[in-house]
This record gives sequence, structure tokens and C-alpha cells, in this order.
Amino acid sequence: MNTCLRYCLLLLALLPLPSFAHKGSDSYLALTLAPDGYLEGRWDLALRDLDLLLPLDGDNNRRLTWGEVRRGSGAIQALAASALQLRSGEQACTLDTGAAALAIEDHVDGRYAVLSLRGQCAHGDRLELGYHLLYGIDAGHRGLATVRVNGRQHTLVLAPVAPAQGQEATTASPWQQVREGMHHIATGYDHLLFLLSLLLPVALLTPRDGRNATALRDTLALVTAFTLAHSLTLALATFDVIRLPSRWVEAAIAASVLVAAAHNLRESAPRTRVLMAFGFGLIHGLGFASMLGELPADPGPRLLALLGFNAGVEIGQLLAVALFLPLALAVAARHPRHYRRWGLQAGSLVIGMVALAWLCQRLLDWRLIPG
Amino acid sequence: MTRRPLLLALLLPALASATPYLPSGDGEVLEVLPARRLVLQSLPVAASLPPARRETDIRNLLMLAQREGDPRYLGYAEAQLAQLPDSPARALLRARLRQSQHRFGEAQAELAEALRKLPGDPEALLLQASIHLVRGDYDRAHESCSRLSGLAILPLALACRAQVDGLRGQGETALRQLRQLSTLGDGLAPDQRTWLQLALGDLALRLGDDELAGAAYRSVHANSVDARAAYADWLLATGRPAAAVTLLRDFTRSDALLLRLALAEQRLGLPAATAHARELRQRFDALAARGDGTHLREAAVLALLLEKDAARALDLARRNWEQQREPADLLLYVRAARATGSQRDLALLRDWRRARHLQDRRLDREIATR
Repeated sequence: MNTCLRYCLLLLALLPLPSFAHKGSDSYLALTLAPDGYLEGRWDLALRDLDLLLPLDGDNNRRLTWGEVRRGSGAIQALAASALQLRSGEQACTLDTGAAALAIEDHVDGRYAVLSLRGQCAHGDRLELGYHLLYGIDAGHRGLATVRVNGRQHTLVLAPVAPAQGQEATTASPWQQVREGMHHIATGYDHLLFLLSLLLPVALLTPRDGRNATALRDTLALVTAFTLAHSLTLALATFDVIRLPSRWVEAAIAASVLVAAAHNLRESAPRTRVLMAFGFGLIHGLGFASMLGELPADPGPRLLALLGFNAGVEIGQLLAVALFLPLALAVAARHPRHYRRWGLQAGSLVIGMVALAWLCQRLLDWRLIPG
Repeated sequence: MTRRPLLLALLLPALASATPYLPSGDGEVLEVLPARRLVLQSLPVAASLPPARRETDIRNLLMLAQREGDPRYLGYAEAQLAQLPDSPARALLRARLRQSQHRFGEAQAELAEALRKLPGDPEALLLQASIHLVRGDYDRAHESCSRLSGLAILPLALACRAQVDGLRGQGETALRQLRQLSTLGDGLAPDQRTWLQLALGDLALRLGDDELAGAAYRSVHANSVDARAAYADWLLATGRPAAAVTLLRDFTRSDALLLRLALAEQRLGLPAATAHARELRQRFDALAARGDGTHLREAAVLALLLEKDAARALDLARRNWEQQREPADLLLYVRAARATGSQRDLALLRDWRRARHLQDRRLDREIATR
């Protein structure tokens, strides 16, 4: 058999030249660097190449659907982040490969996933690219790039190279992970609205003499319960102890916001809300886990990255509380009736409606509102 | 090299400026992926695999590239080759890769290296012969064929020589030999049968035996992209464009086949020809942007026959001629030169042909040898 293989190939050597059916693998990269170092761009990656690198075709029927691509978008963004290194001067630029939701583009040889890029560089006048996509896998792959720096456009044909040594190319430092975590809580409206729903009634616990001790204690209990719970499941998911389909996790998160908001429409004991904070916090932790991106494989650095990300989430969360609580307390102390009607009840109603919309679109794939 | 960034600057905005969109629903199929190949199951390939196993994988990839006409497999093979320890076998595989990429000079250098260590290696000799053939160096090709020895590869050695002889003035004898070899029939592997029939068809066509050529092509047309293209060419050459449309309708992903489909549609006066020509133009632009020079022959045909841009066609045919000199390349160059009335090119080609006694009825209609 082996000999046949050898000679079959032999014979092919004598054929007329192969006329190739399509072109080799390309990606299309467009970057614009602003004078202040702000970076914006777009990166089109062939679905066929992504299929080679990621298990996107979940049902293995070799027909890649939009649902499969969408569910893999986190992994695609993480892959892209690890395959492109941007430096300005001596410093690495930050790069967010999920600045907007993933979209699709038709190119001459098939469909491509379109990633929105955003980042920040130390300088606005120079940019170096390290291109590693498909390195060691497809030597014929090329990144076709247009890079605009200082108002001048440069075009480049990038061949994949090995990631620089000792660079820990694919993963962010723990400090970057802290920023990731903060970024995530700041833009993760569902987590913020959940927290807000739990905190809205807190301001009304203030006794008439204006001392805020009860409210503060209650807030502390809620935030602690939420933090403990989501840290727990975030850690378990990071170390692959639990793994749930992200679609159901996202839907459950929306449901938790809905329940918490609905709960505010009637009187409730603080204890119930602390229990909700813990119970639903477990689900929110799984949601954070899907945002964590590429992590080091070794347990030690992995733990460090996880701690960094979690710390970022907590800092972001405390900042949100610090912004909300004084304002709520001030309003509630002066106009308790207005606060109850417009702040607590109307506010919860609005939050509940938003959550309902999220729930529908996450379960049924409608596109109603962002988030 | 210097030309590419400029070209890219012109092309890239067009390639990447369209607006992305969100598909209508989760169920929408975005891409039909090629079957998952065993050789690509775990990437990058582990360095711990024994070299012999990795060599087999690379062979498989090169074969897939040829059969499916898909250059991605060449890229995979090249990446795996880079991680293989140096050996004569590696030099041979590299030569095969460079040949597929139309980088013939590099391929010959690798072959010389391999043959220094493995004198008389049949695979290296056959490959060397085929590259000499592609470059129009028939005497050297014959020399390589003659060095093939051993009973096991006797049919191959005969076929090799017959193919060369068929190009340098001994067509009738060669045709007889190839026909005899093809009667080995069931004793041949499918790829071997395909190759033999294609060689036979090419020779028969040049000798003017359209019936024989048609039968040869028809019998293997479903086996590879190249075989289907060859059969389509025959249908077009013998005035059967409607049959060509039927043959090619479902194979528009391939540039080579889409080109033939557009030509057939043009003959039939079908409006689809224009759209397909435009699609081809976009694909060739995309190829040019990545610096891929393997499509020059097809691009010249597009310019000459579909876009009616004879000057551009001549330029492309000239550049293609620098790279490869098979009878089809010569025919194309001659037609482009005639369309522009370039006597200088025609004189050059006439001399080239006369020096080799190349038999080709199609060429006889275009240029006289004396």
C-alpha cells in the first residue's frame, strides 16, 4: 500500500500542471492608529481557517451555521488576540478583538468572520506587527494588511512567524487581566442591572434619623454574597470542573435579572435578597468565565490570571456601588415616597422589561436590544 | 516583489471594504467545509511523531492538493515540511511542493540535492523529467526518463519516455505505446489510470485524433479537477459548449472550471458568462494581491477570450511563458500574440517550436513551422 502511495504520487508528477481550484488562505487586516495612540481596526478571518483551529462545527456535519460561529465567537476573538501582536516603540499595545459583535463578510473564496479591533498604543506614530496566525500549520497563509499611521497608508503582506520567545505571546499579564475584569463589569450591563436590582431597596432601609448603618450593612451582605458565589463558579469553570452551554448561562443570567427586578415590586426581607445574590451569583460567575479568554495552561499562572480577572470584576463592582449608593441614599432620605415609586418600583419595572427582552433574544435568538 | 505592495495597495481596499452583516438566523449555513482529514486532526503536528509517519502525512497532503485543486493543502504540507529533520526524503518532498507552487528552479535544486544522495531514485527522476517537460526542455526530460531502471517501474519508465517522445516529433509511436500501456487497465491504480488517460488525450488532441482524445478524457473526467478541465476543454474545442455547461455547472468553486464554464456560456450566448467573467476577475485579483503567480495561464485566457483585452492577455501570456512552457501555454501565447499582431513574439515562438519539432495540429492552424 505504501508503495502504491509512493508511485501514485510519482505518476502525479507527470500530470499537466495542477490548476488550483481556489486561492490559498488569506486574512484581511485593516488598522488605523490615531495620533493619541488609539487603535481601531477590523480583521476578516476565513471560516475555513477558523474551522481548522477551533472546534466550531459542533455537530460535525461539515456545514458551519451562523449559530455555531456565534457560539464560538468568544473563542474566535481569543484566538485572534493571541495571533496578533501590536507594539509601539518598546511597548505592547492593548488589543481588544471583540470591540463589537462578530459579523460575517463574503469574500471571493468563501465566508469570513469579521472581528472589530480596538486598542491603545504608547505612541501614535509607530506600529509594529507580529503576525502569528496559522504559524506552523499553513505556511502558505498570508495576512493582507492595510495600516494607516500618521494619515499614511501602508500595505503589507504578512507571512505568519513564530511568536517571539519568552513573550508569553497569547496571554495577558495578571494586571491586564484586572483591567479586563473591570472592563467586563463596566460593559456587562446584565451583571450591573442585577446588582442594581438588589441594591435599589437598600436605600429605603435607612431609618428616619438619617444614619446609614443598616443600609451599608445590607449592601455589604449583598455584595459579599454575590462576590463569593460568582468567584466560586468562575474558578470552577476556569479549571474546567463545570462547563455549561453559554447560551443557557446567558439566558439564565437574563432570567436572574428579571426575577430580582420583579421581586422589588413587593416588600421583601433583606435575607431573601442575600439568598438571591448568592444563588444567582453562581450563574453570573459562569457568565464571567466565558469572557475570560485565553489563559495560561499551567495551573500556577492560570490561577494568577484568574485572581487578576476576578479582582478587576470586584473593583469594577465596588466602583459601581460607590457611585450608586450615596446618590440613592441622598434621594431616599429626602423624598422617600418618590424614591419608592420612581426609583424602586418604576426603576425595577424598566429593568425587568429589559431583562425580559434579553431573555427572549437569548433563548429565541431574536435581536431586540443590544446586550 | 517590488511590484506587489503597489498592486496590493490598489486592490486591498476593494477586497476588504464591503460591509459585514449578521446572518438572518442561527440555522443559516455559512460555509460547507471540506471533509475533516485525518492528517489534519491534530495541529500543529507533534514533533514526537516518527519522521516516516510525518513523511506519509505530507505525501497525503500533496496528493490532496493535486486531486482537489486546493492550495491550502500545499500550505499545510509546507508547514509540516519545515519541521521535518533534513534527509533525502525531505528534499524530495520539498521538490514536489515547489513544483506544485510553480517554483521550478527551486524544485530542480532540491532534486539535484536528493539525487546526489540517492542516485537513480525513481521518484526523483520522474519528478525531474516532469519539470523539464513543463519548462519545455524535452532532451533533458528524456535523459531523466532514460535513467529510470528496474523491473518494478518498467511501465512508468515507458510512459515517461512515451510522453516525452510524443512532444518531440515522434507522436505516432508514442501514441501507440501509451495506448498499449493504458490497456493494462485493471492493473493500474485509479490515479495512474487518470494520468495515463490524460497524457493519451493530450497527445491524441495534438495529433488531431479528436475521437480518441475525447474517449480518453471522458473515461476519467470525474477523477480530479484537472481531468474535468481537460474534458471540458475537449468539449469546447470540438464545438459542444452545451455539454460543457452540463459538465461544469456544479463546480464553480474551482477557478479553472469556472473559467471553462464562462467560455461555454459565452459560446452559447448566455448572460451568465458576463457575471462569471466578473467573478473570475475578482478571484484573480485576490490571487495577485497575495503574490500568487500560479494562475497566470487562466488569467491570460480570461483576458483574451472573455474580456477581449488582447494587450493584457499578451502580457500575462508572456509572464506565464517565463514560468511554464507546456503545449497549452504555447498555444495560448501564440493566440495572444496573434490577437495583438505582435510579430516579434510570433517569430520567437515559431523558432522555439521548430527547434523542438513539437507536433500540434491546433498550433498548425495558428502558426506555420516553416
